[in-house]
Amino acid sequence: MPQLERSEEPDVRGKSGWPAAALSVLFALAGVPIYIWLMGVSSVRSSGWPAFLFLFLGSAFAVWQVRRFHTWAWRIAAGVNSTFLTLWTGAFFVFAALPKPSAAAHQLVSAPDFRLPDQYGQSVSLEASRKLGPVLLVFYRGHW
Amino acid sequence: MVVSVDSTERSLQTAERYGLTFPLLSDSGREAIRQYGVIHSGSALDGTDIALPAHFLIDTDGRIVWRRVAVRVQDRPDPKEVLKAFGTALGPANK
Repeated sequence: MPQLERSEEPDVRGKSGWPAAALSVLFALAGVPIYIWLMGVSSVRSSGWPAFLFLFLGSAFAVWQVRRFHTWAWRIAAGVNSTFLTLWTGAFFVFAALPKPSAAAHQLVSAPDFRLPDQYGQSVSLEASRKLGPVLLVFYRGHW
Repeated sequence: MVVSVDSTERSLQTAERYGLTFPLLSDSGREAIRQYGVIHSGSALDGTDIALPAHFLIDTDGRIVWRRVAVRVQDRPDPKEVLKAFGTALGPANK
């Protein structure tokens, strides 16, 4: 009787195959929704560390697996994870950089008074408000 | 109080959406934004100027006693830091 050919890969290659590599990509990319979920914490928002952590671990793990098994699954996973790590770094630091404010922002000692309409169309004066107590004046980007 | 270039209508939408009770001021002429040095030229999608994210704490005498200007889009001061600055501005009797 002819011997049946082994149609299945041995277990050790199964462990280094597509499912595990795909999981490493999912793990790495999970860092971004986790960052968004934790964005309420200002240290998270400013540093983005959860996304960096997951992307870095996912990339490092995939690269380690490439060195162990040399399979295309892991090479692709390592490539994808490192690409996303690079894109995230670019987006978080390079694209998010703001121009330096004019000297006034850091040098003003006396707060210039102004009068602007609020959300109800009513005129609000900074001078009148600050006489009632300290005012936290926040400038935000709005719907740009 | 919070200032942006959003129109009064847009500010009202924002206030209602998030349940904000403090004043959202509309600086469509970019006057206050310019005075405080926080103009971000051409940063809006349509190329107009908007504000840099910035916080200024102003005491009752009109002096700026604490400030933070964002370096990156996502920079915001820790609320604890803001409250601490407020406490100092209110005087030694307050925490």
